[in-house]
Amino acid sequence: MKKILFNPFERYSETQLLIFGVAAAILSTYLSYVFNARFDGALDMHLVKNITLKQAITDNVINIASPFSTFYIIGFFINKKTRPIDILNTVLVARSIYCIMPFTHFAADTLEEFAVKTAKINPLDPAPIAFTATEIITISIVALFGIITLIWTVTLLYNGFKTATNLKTIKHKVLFAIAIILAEVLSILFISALN
Amino acid sequence: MAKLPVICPSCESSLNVSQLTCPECSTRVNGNFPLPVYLQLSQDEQSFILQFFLTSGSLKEMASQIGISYPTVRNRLDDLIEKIKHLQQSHQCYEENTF
Repeated sequence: MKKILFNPFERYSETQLLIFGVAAAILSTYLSYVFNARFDGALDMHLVKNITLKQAITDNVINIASPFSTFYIIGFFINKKTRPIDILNTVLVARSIYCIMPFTHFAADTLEEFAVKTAKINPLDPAPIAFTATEIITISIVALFGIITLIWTVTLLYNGFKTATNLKTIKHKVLFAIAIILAEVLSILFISALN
Repeated sequence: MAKLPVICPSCESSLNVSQLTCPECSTRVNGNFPLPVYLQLSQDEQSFILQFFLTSGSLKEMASQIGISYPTVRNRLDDLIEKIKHLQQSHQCYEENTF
């Protein structure tokens, strides 16, 4: 079970992973459109007032293309036998976890209330601001949800990249970290430029 | 059937053969013979090579037979190639030092 959840790349064929990944990408695009959630970076998601279908599709295409490009270039540098399909599956399957993130839409009002109150805090005179129990519980759940999702996604990215490239040394691990940072920067730049 | 030990349980170096026995007449030959490279591999590694041979070197077929993905099979093969290269080098060094 642990393998299926965190390292399906060792077990499942490229076709199975690709079908699952594409289905998850379509679902996450649809959910982001329905729940006004923008994936405005390879590892980001923010709730917004409104989102068009074009924006939802563009965001997801860029968020798949950016990590695919950086991971493939760096993967090819690590191991010349790295196949594009394995890198694509890594990105698609890792992003499938993000399907659950748009459901934070149901806490949007509380999150907005919390953000408004937090924005009023003056750092020079931090007057006590009363947060309701609902706000604190909601924020805690959403934060925990976000952290778990992020850790799970990065774990899947790492395991997929490791399987695709036969990554072993510390240098390779550093290159993986650079690939993630580059993917995040590239996706944010492209998304902000196109929308 | 008992497995042939290839690694020293004390220092984890490769073991050599010091005695061979004829199963028919019980004649014994003593000496110090290094194990062939294939026999220095673990049981799993030997099975992997055998399967590779039986599938005519098709990694895709191997992957579907073992129930793991293609890149995992390829990685195992690459690791095994590296290990065999290292063993061959050690074998050559041993022969150069011995003869």
